[in-house]
Amino acid sequence: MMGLQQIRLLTFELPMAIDRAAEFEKEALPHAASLLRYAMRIAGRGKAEAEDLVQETLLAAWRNFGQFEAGTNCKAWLFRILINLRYKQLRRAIRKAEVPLAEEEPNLSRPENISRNAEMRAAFARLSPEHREVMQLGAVEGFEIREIGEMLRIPPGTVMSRLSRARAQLRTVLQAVRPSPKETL
Amino acid sequence: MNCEQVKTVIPRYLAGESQESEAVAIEEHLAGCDHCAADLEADRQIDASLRAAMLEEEIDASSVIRRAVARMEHVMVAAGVRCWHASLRRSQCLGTGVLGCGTPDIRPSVGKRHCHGGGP
Repeated sequence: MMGLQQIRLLTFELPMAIDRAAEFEKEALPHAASLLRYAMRIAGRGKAEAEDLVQETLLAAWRNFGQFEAGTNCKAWLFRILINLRYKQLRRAIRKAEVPLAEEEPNLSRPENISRNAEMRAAFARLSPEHREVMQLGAVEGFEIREIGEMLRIPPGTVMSRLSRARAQLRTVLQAVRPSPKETL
Repeated sequence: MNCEQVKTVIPRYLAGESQESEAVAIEEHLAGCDHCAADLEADRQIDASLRAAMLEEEIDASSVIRRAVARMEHVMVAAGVRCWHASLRRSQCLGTGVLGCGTPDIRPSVGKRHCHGGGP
């Protein structure tokens, strides 16, 4: 539920939010599915928590839509907000000394008919959070290396090295679970 | 460029963001190095497979949009604006986006209650 304090904060920029409601609907809301995909893969705590994160992102974006420059990349702007909110949540969790939920170990013992896509998703889930982040932003969502660096607040060189390591790790995991042509003979 | 140097900048090349001079140097190296060329091809396949695997899953964001818009409406109503729908009308751009004509109506009921004159 939204507290009074939050309502006052939102009301502060309300005239702008109202005047640009149609623009917000056209520019921001169509990216909700991409945000949700990212939140589900990266935040990794199930759809309900991912949806909460995306909802907060959309609200923060709406509240601050005056800062968004028309004609710039709205998707990148929304992802920056989502990532900032996620960092805030993580910091809050650390302060409260919450024990992070153990990530589910993906099941790679494969029934023969497991699809290649499912194999890839399972391999992806085994990457470290840092590697999942850059791969999801770069290879899936198509952001530039510079944009990813800005979102994650890391230098472009670090983005590139993480991408390289993530790809190498995916190759290794997939080679391990996929039988070589010789084995299938 | 040697193999190590190529390895460092290959993500930028793969993303299509290398400047021309860098791209030329990489391609010259790849032409004479089967190992790096194979690595590049493997990286390309990894990216394509990952994209396919992630996009195969259809993500339904309608529920989260509905919840977010309901919260926005709650704020607007508290501030005296009738609803999201009314604010769209006010900005004279109704029916073009996610919540407008031709798309599933996901406007929250709280908003509809405040609307006058029916939908778009």
